[in-house]
Formats: sequence, structure tokens, C-alpha cells
Amino acid sequence: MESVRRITRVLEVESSGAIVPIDLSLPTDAKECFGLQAIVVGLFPGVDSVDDFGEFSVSFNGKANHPVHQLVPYESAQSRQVSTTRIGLLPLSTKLTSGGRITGFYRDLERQTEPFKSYQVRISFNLITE
Amino acid sequence: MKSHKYQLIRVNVPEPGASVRFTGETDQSFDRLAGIFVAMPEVVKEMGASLGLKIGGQEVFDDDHDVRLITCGREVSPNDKFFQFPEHIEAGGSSIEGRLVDAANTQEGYPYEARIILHLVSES
Repeated sequence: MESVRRITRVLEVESSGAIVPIDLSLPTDAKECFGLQAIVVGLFPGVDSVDDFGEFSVSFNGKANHPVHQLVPYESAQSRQVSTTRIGLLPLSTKLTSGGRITGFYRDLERQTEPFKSYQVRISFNLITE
Repeated sequence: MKSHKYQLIRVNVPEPGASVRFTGETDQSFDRLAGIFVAMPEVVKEMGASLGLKIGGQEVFDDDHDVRLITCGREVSPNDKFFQFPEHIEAGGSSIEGRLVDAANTQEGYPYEARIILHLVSES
């Protein structure tokens, strides 16, 4: 019977302009990724909401499929206070081969003012499993 | 005809960075979990908080699941605030096990109460 799993992987970003490699494995019973989202974790008081806080690129099945090269936004607390939206998923329909790795990178786009504050990026994979 | 219930779970967060486990049980009269919404007292408390959740032993969110994926902007109308599950999650009297981790963005505003609202439905 099919079911849904939501798997989060966390990246650590330690310096301005850093390129953080992504090299992950997903559960072997995952057969399709139907959506994902990347979210910046942290508060940066000197930064307004921006669409291009970082960018990430993700390939599935050992680079056989490359469905995502996308910007990662930052939404400030002030913007969220008056927001009329929710964070949804980037829809995908990528079939997964068992044991196939997920590779790619996250790159910080230097939107923080000095001093740089280390932060995390959470990538949530929404999977159909058997 | 569908019937609906919105079941509230209160989670007390005592201090910055706290990791709080909570348990409970879904209302037996309803078949499935259709949606969820998490209400935090301040927006800054959402920024980086995470929520893990199991219903009936089935993992719904892993422990690093970002709370912002199941909250929304403050100006969203109450009926649109819920994250809707595309899958069937059995809920009739199922156990609830969860863990809320505070993001420790500020030192103020503690203790506070996070509220998790489950949208339960019954098809019969």
C-alpha cells in the first residue's frame, strides 16, 4: 500500500558565499518524490525579505534527473506577520530508483550584512513510498 | 455526509531551545486526520522551530520538520490556515506522539503555549 513520508535534511552554512554540497540518500522504499521545499532557518535582523537568499540544485537517481535549480528565499518575521500566504511545496513527479543518491549543492548568495551569522537550510522531501 | 472536528493540543514550552514531547489520542468518533495547523504566540517563535509527529505509530512529520510548513502568515483567514494532508491518515482513537523544538530566537516570551489543531473528519 502506498503511503507518504516527509523527510527533512539539514545543511549547515558557515560562511558568506559558501557552497554546501548535497549528498543524501532517501529511504529505499521511496518510489517517487512529489514535492520539496528548502527553508532558511534563522533570524537575520538586517535582512528584509528577499527571493534570493540562496540557491539550491538537486539531482536524483545519481544525476540522471535534475528537476530543481531554484532560489531559496528569506521571509523576515515582519513580512510573515502581515503575510496572506503559506509556504507550499515545489511540485515534482520524479520517479526514484532504489538506492539512488540525491546530489547537488546549496549556495549562499551573500545577502547578510556583516558580521555573517551561520545558519541552517532545511530541505523537506515529500515522498510516495510502498 | 462528512462530519468534522477540530481537536486542540496544548504544548507548554518552558524556555528557549526547549524540546518538548507530547502525547495524546485522536477523537475515536472520527476516521482520519485531514489537516493540521500550529499556532505560536509570536511569529519569531515560528522561525526555525520544528515539529515531529506520529499518529497511530505512523510518522507524519520527521523531527526536523519546519513548523513554517504547517503554519502560515497571520493574515490568512482561519479556514485556510490548515495544511491539508493528501494521504489517508487513520485517526479513530489513534495515539498521538510528537516533539516540538523551540528555535531559541529570543530570550523573551517564555514560558509560552503552542497550540496544535488537528482537523479530523469522518466520511460516514
